[in-house]
Amino acid sequence: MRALFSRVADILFRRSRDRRLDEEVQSHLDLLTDEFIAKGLSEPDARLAARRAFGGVDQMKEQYRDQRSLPFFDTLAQDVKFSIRLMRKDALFTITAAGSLALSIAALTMAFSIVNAFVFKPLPIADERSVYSLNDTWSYPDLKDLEARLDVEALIGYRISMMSVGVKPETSILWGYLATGNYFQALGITPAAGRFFTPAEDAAPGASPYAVISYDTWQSRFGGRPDAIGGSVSINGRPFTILGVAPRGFQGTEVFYRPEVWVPMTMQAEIEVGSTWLANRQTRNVMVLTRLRNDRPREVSEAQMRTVVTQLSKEHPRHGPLTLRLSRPGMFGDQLGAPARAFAWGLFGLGALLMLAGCSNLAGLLLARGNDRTREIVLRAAVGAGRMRIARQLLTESILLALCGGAAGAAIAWAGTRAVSAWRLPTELPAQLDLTADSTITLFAIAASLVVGTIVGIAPARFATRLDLNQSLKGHADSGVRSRRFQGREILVAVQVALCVVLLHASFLAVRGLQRASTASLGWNPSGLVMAATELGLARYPHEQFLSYIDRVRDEARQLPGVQSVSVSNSMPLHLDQSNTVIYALPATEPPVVTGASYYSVSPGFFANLQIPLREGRDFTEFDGPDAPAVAIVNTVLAERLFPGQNAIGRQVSNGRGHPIAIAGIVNSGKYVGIGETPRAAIFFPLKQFYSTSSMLIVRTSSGASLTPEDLRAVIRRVDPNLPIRTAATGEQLTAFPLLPYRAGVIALGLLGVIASGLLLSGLHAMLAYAVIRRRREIGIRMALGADRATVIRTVVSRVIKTIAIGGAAGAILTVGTGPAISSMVLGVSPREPALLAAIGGVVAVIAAASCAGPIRRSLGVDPVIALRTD
Amino acid sequence: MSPNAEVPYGTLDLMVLKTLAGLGPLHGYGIARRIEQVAEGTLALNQGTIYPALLRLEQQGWIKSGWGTSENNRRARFYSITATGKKRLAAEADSWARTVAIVNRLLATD
Repeated sequence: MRALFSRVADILFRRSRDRRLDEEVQSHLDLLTDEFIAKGLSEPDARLAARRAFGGVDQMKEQYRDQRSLPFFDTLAQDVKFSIRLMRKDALFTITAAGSLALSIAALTMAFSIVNAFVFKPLPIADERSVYSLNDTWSYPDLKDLEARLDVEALIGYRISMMSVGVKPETSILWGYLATGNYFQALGITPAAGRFFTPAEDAAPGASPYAVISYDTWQSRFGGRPDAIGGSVSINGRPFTILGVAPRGFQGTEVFYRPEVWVPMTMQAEIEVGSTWLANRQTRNVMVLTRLRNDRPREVSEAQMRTVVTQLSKEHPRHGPLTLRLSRPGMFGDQLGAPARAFAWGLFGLGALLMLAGCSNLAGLLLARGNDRTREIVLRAAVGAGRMRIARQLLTESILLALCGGAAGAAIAWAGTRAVSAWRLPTELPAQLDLTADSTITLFAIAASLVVGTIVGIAPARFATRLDLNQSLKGHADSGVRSRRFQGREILVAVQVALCVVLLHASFLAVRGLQRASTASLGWNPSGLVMAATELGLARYPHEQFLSYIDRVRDEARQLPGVQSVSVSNSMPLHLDQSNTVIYALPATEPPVVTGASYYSVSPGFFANLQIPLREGRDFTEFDGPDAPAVAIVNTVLAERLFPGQNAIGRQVSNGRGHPIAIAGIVNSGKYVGIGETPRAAIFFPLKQFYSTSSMLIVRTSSGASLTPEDLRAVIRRVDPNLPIRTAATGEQLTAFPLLPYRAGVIALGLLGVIASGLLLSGLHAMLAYAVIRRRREIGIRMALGADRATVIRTVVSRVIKTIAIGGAAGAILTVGTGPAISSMVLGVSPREPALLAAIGGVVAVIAAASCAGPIRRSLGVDPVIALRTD
Repeated sequence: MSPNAEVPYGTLDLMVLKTLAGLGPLHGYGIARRIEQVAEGTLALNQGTIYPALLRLEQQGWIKSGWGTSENNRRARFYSITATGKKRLAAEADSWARTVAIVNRLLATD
């Protein structure tokens, strides 16, 4: 060990150590000379004698050096130096090869960072492995019952909530969590400043006006001032005390959402003013995490939990069944888990395929170059370089090249993940995806490039060891290696064609998915709509004021020029705010129960405004007021589920509270939560019977008129300047958000397809260009013997076409396997569309034509005389 | 034994260690000289070959070196034995003695 260490040191300090030896030898020789002079020799004789006594100085030095250093590293240094010289000499080749590798490594690394964010990266909490997310959302009474009955370390509830926070000089809407009192304690995190609220501070409804703010909010809104902690802040017009600041980098317990403030859950009525659900078992809107006990396996805990949940479900049959499933936290109760994971892993798989294409590309380039270098290699072998030594040199070159590509790729990926992480999703709540990661990503890129360099380098290295010296030296450039029917290079190109087909198929599928989604029938017409949403609860409107607001804002909006129709509702389809409820048919003895029905509170004229066709019955009127009998309009899906094969009009239903509700009308079904959703049940209530604090003004403009979201903001401000406005958008902007996953798919997969096409272009070009050079003699001879140019072209092109055809066929077969996987990661596409394969074939043909043009022109330009003379 | 035998493989290290242990710090020339003296002309030592040996011993930490001035005022590198070197010498000498004894006994049984 010690010797090794000193040897390494010797390599580092080689120069000075060389000098030291020289000096030492010189002094030794001098002393010897002195001795011989003392013995009576003349000085020149003495010097000679001294040399003789000392022995061969150079041999000794050589031995000394070998002894001193590690020969492995010495040769490595030589190899690296030589490789760098070569890389600089052939800069174009280096840039092409390293560049294509960089792109594929960057793509794979980006895909890996998405996998990392979705699957591996732990939340910054203590002992993350024992924390699990319960499926979907739960009601607060269910949460409390479970907490009392379950044998777990902790059960944590939280809910995404919006609040208006007064930080002088203005009131702004902040997004946060309503969280149970044990939230911070059970997660085991420590505050950056101040303290967190405790279970005791979440005991009684309305008794704990406390808030914890995120580190970023502390910095941005409170300037990081220490005196902000303990200070008072106005939330929805009530004073709350800021207890403390969450640690830096703690972004709550969801991957996609960054809360800015936490408030104890028992303060719900103060935060979501106008709605109280803490006592409602049917309002399932709390996300739940659990920390399992460490002293028993997860399966045991899960089985126990399942028993308790089943029991609870039996006790409250009216509220629909409860099921339990544990999953990794962070994916909205795993509602996003499966699609997010499918997307991430699918992307990673495609990234790996691209990487494989990049490898084949690089291997092809290196192999072609290895062929070009036959002479150099043969010469080196002839003057005594061992074959292993030559192979090692070639391997060093490819690894070095791969490392350059890897470094560039890592840099691109780094910039890419930074850009994605900084991007705030175009929606009103703070949705962001943190892709930035620790050094694992960089390590991944470097490891990937090392693997690539080795794999790719093996081919040329093997080529070098198979060389037939005798033939090669004689100048038969292509006779050094026995020619086979289908050569390695052609196999590599075929592989690239196949992978390119697979990746193009994936990107075309994504494009088709987006195309389908953007032209999908929503069941209502977003074009020409403008909306603005406000939160009356945040301004603490009492009930009467709420009723008068609806009329005033409608009247005010009707005054705008170019208005065709106006409606007010709590929300609208495909908006972020979607609520579900349980609906069952009355009489309640024999329940068809529909859980998860979307519900909306809407003013008269809502359906006409959104252009939702009324199938049967009537629309709401001004007479469906607070004192009139409760009525509702259902969509065809809900009508069919509750009253299959019967007439639903006039039948009575219940949502579990209050009076029976009579069905007054049936409307066509549409898309409510997402564009790719399966048909959903929906129910609409008259706004004045089911008031909601969320109030959305929706205006349809007559064609030719131009109303902007700003105009609607102004309308609301004219009605009440103190109302906080959440969003204002056009119908198109609103429907753009649900299209986001489709767009993401197109961008991600499209990028892979583009890179794959680029690789194929360069790979084909390299193969052809090389084939032309290699077969120059043959072409020359053919032409000299009278072959016409067409025949020559045919000889060059036929092999290429055969290669592409074989690769393309293999790719087409592969898509049969990859297609279903891609349609599971990209929403709403069917993997088999004949038109797609035709399009892919077209793209490949264009790539082939583009890459062939140059080399073919060159092969036509071959002058038989010159060609026959060279080599 | 012929008058000018090669240095048996592996014994040069032992000779150098013993020399340094006996005589204290010495330069390469001094060490070579001493070994030749002891051999009394029966050893063909290329004096240069002791340098790789010195490096080897230094790498193992058995000897250390530093610049100094020779008796006739020449700058020279002086080597001295370290504590671990002394231990090593004892062990090596022991094993050498045993090896020689074995070989002697083998040769005697004839």
